[in-house]
Amino acid sequence: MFPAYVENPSNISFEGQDQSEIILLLLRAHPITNLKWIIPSLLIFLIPFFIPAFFNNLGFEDILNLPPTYLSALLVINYLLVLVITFEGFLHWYFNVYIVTSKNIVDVDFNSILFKNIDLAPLKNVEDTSSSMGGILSSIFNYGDVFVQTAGAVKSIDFISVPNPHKVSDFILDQTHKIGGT
Amino acid sequence: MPVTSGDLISSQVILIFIKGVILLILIFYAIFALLIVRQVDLMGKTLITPVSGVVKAIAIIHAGFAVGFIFLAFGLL
Repeated sequence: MFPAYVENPSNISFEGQDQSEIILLLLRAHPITNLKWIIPSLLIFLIPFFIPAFFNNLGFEDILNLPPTYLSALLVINYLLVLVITFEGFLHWYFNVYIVTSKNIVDVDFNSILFKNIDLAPLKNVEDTSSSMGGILSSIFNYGDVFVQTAGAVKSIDFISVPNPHKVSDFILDQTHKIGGT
Repeated sequence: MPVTSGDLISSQVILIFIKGVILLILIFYAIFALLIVRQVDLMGKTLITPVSGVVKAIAIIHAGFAVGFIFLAFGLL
């Protein structure tokens, strides 16, 4: 349902897409990179289960003598925190995409809550591409970074933690050659 | 009669203080939830997918709950 590597995606378009422009490749960070928000949210989810034992061990069991409505409110705040970390994590992963179209390379970044950055480079301006993989998780799950050097105002476009980086790098170069007729 | 720390915690002043803190957190949370609605709207316009509408609906419901919790906490605590 939420793939990170889609060739010729249907039902997907982006802001500024031309009528004749076809999306050839849609990329997101590998799903395993979502562990960086899944693990904290799981830990916060489990906090209420360990709080009573924690306070009892420290001898502060009286803190738990608050009226039940207050304890419920604190519990609600805890789970709202879990909800917002999960939702923000998902949004950040789902909408930070890298798109290769028949004309351009597009890098859509939502770095913070209200900050949007779109890097766009024509395929004909691509000079070279490189890919790198490093680390245990990258090797196991086959993901890494792709760096695209361009001749335009945007000096480089970086695809961070995308699946099959070598294949993506080769794909972009192949498309560039097609446009250039070489 | 000796005063225990349990009596102190359930004293009115402390409870009002905790209520204030809870309400403050919930107000900040609601502001954040409304910002998320704006963010999702922006994201949905940038990348148009079948999921965009669902995500926007979730964001709006989430913001509704966040605002609702403020009133709930104000009434119940």
